[in-house]
Amino acid sequence: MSNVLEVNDVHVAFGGLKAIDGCSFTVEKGTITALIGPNGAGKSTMVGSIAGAVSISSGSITFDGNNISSLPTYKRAQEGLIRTYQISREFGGMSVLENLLVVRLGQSGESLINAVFRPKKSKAETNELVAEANDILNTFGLYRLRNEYASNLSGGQKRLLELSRAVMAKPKMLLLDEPMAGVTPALIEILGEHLLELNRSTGMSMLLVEHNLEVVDKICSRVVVMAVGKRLAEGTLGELRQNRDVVEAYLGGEVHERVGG
Amino acid sequence: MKLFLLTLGFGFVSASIYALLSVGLSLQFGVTNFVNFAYGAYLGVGMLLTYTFSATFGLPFWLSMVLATIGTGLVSMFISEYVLGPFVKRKKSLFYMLIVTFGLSLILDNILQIFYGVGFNEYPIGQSTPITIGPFSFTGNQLLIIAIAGVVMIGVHLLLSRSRLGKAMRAMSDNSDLARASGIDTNMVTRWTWFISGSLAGLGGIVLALNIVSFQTTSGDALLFVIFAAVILGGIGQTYGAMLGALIIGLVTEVSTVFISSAYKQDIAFLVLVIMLLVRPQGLIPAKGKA
Amino acid sequence: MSVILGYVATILVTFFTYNIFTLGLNIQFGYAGILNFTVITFMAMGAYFYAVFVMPPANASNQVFYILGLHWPWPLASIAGVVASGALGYLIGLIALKRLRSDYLAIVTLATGTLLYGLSGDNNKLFDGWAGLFAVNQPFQSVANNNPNTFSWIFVVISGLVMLAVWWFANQLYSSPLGRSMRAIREDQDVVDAFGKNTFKVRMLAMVIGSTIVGIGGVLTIQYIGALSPAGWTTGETFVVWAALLVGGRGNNIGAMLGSLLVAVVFNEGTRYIPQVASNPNLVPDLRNIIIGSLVILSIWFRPQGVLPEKKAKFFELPLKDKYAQTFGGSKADQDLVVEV
Repeated sequence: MSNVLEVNDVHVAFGGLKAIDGCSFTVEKGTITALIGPNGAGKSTMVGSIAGAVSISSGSITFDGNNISSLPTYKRAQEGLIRTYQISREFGGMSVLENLLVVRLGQSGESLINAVFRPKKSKAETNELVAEANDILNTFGLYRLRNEYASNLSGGQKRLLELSRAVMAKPKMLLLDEPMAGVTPALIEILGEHLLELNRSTGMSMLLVEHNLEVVDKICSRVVVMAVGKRLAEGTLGELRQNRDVVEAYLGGEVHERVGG
Repeated sequence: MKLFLLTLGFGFVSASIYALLSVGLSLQFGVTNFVNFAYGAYLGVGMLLTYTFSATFGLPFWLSMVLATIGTGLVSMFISEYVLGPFVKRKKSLFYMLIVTFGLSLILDNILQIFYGVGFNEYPIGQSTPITIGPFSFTGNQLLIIAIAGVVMIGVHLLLSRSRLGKAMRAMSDNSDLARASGIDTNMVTRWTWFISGSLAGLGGIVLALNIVSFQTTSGDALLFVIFAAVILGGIGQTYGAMLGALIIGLVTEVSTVFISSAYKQDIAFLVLVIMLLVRPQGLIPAKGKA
Repeated sequence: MSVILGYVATILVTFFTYNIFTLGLNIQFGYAGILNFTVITFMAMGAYFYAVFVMPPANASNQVFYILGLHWPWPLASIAGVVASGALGYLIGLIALKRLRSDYLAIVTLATGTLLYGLSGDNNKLFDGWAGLFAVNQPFQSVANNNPNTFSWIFVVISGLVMLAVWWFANQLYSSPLGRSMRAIREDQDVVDAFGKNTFKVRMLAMVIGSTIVGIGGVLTIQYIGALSPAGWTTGETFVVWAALLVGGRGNNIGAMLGSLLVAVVFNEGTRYIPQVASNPNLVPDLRNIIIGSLVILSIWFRPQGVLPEKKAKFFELPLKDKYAQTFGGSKADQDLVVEV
């Protein structure tokens, strides 16, 4: 039961193409686990099938002890499994603050009757959420932009918004699909620190798809390596550097340089 | 049984008309990835241009048909170039593209109405006596419709499978970014697609008018949802699916007249559309990433 | 004098009812991004069902046919009309609001509209075919002692009050968490889904609420005029509502009101009295439709947000808790935001 996520022999096929071909791995509760692998290994498809955006043809996915393989996307999120996207998908026509407010589940004003006829209760609730959201925005350095339209943010700011929005949803587990993609080195460091701090202070589990091995080294306790739709290896990054298959398939020269240097 | 076979014959005629129309709509959807809600008005353009050429200018009917078909294609290309194209270049969202074509349908319909009024028109050609072929019975015009549709379907097949344009259209239909990256002149392909789509709409409108004999400017709009039904049934954006969808819709709507009043036969197409969306929205032949 | 008074009353009732239609469409399109291409069909549903519930059984000797004829009191019949149009919205939603592209919903709305239009015209057993229903019971006619102006002005007040109620409702919804979910779905449905909201349910709510509101406008329309035939709800009428919303400002209820005023009243009514061209009696209405269609397209080109754009949400905010200093890297991130990516 110490595993928050168990992926068991999952297959995904698009037409004739096998995007995931019998992949299994686990994520231990309270850890940040990295999912790495060369392009086309099926990492994003894996995130999609865990989150429910991609349907699996066989195998099972267990989250927090429940088999979620056949649940629709929104029910998986209700269980506490929240994802972010490789390309930022902000609600462009809404303010940054509203982007955060909208994702919290269980607001009383989400029912029509409360929304229209009991606005006081809903407003009081919203005020509390605003304070909470502002705190998160402050943490991620977006506080002074809270009333800006999300579409007006820069690329890097949108990455920060993507993360703060996910945090606002109070997930048990975060699926992060290349959160550092297209981000400056300075911001990568900050994002990494945020994730680590979040994990330490709240015990939130994370599965992080990442190419940057420095980041992986710094914040992930375990690493799962995927190649051609399968799990190639699993372990700490140190262990994997000793693994011949992994080095050949993926880590390649890059590691030798670093290890050697 | 005899009645059933007779309606089956009419079913082939309707299927022929729908095939021209749904292939035209589907080709364009595949390449540009948005539904053209003004398509019904394009039928009216072909229908009425033919009327002008044959009844007003006194040209031979076959020539009027050819000119009107090309004319509708040009109108369609012109609209794509000067109205829809600029919106696409500004990367307007799907919402807005659909609203723009919807607004266009109102404009085109009313331009047609200014020139042709709201009354009914007929082509200046005689109605031949029906010819009996086995259990079926067709008028000369209906045989002509089936022949035209047959020739055009073969033409579309050759276009898609043999010509460079057709292959480029298929490539854009699968993935337009990839097509552009691999050196296809996507602007040119889009232009030709709108021309072909418009021509098929025009031709479809003409043969529709031949079949229903008296027609008005909005006859095409009333048929639009039947075409949608055929296209969705086959799998939206799938050319061969559209042919199959048209065949099924044509047969089902005509054969239904054995059981219900023929006034409601097109409503059966709506029923097919609803069932399809509930049961198999991706269509009989699903296209990648279009549903 | 009394002619002018009557005319002013008609203009006001037109404005109020069109504003109700536009508010209904705003909830569907402006809030939730739902493309309803047959707004006016919901008006007709409300009107027809009010009529067949309030009228006595059809009298075959007059060659007038319609279903039901229940002779209910008008308040109950009004509710029946409103429920009927909401129910149609629900049915369309069931067919097309599942996880499909927005094209499909637009197609289904348009197809339903075409189908019901043809059906109600061709089948004279439903709502008396192309002739339509007339002599429909009008509430307050007896109070007004059958004086047309008194009746008209009573109706100005009634429709004005209903419009205000709808407007209040739409505003409450807009700023609520439910309205926020709707707008987020308009921006990106998949993401809202991935955050655990049942987007089908939320979109269905927007669809049904919008349809119901348009139905309310339909009931008011037939109560005021006392008649409706298919000629009164052609596709062109749907465009008037769309043009009003797009010109006024989608997502903004005051914009919707301004749009109804400009398009449905100033433009539509203002051009109604241009004299007919003898050689082409349809020229003026045709040109009017061409302009309405152009308004729709041009407003998307030049000002998609409308004359009055959607307002940014404002919240009651307390100053930040003094967590700022303790937060690791908080200030650092703030500095680094100048780094453009």
